[in-house]
Amino acid sequence: MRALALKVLPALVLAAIAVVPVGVRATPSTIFWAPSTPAVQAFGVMHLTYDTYFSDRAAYPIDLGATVGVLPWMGLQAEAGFDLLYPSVAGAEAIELPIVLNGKVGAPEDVYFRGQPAWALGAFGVGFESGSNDQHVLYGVLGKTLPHIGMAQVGAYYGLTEERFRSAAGQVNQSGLLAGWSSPAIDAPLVDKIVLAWDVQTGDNVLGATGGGVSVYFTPTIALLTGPVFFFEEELQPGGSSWSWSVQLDVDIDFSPDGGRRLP
Amino acid sequence: MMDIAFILIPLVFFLVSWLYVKAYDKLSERS
Repeated sequence: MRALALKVLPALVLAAIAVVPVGVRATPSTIFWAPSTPAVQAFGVMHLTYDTYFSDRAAYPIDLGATVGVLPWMGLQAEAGFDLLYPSVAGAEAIELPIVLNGKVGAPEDVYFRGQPAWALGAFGVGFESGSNDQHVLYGVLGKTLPHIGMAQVGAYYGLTEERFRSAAGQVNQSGLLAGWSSPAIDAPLVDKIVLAWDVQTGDNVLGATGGGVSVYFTPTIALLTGPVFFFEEELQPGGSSWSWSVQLDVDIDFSPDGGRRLP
Repeated sequence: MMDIAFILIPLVFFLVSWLYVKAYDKLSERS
């Protein structure tokens, strides 16, 4: 009975992620700007994020998010999370509940066969306010760690809500490429390590941008990521800015007694 | 409304996640 419960409990969570319906940003596990990474939160580890994107003209809403790893298997991992975006003004009115959901399934490298890339399929921007935060983006990513270079990642996305994916000229651009790179850990004095990161999300729409920066890990579970983001459609961005600076605080909290890595 | 959402949503998410992991731990220990 307990063995059955051990299988049923994660399966119920996976089903809950699958049935969640699919302009604003959302943060599942990301590299810098976009979810262009196959990384999935480890089982029992909650990731908290506080993201800001600002320029001298305007800023994106502050993003307060949480994502947790929910499957205790190596061959199929999953994460689920949400973001609260404040202030929540859309037009003349504030969004009453500025929450967007995200979810992702995937597996790390080399679990099925030697040389197998990491993979992930997911959704983000799952909001409930029609006309404002209902982007409903599906995406998939592959990633491979290269010696001395770091992890290279590539994938694609498709936004289900046509109205949220228009260029400044009004053309519909619902899809694009995702690509990213994260460096190997770099030793640095006074801190745990430094990691460089870059990614791009193509498309003449509100999400089209490229950005990169440096992630300073003060401890293995607390990091500050900072750098610029350059937008492809500046007319669609806050204040018509062509770029923003980003500061992102990331914290991992491990709920499990033995490090959240109780994977076989 | 903002105050309620801002406090309750993270709190409930945190508690549900914690309870889920603890429940799995308990079941794992007993089986």
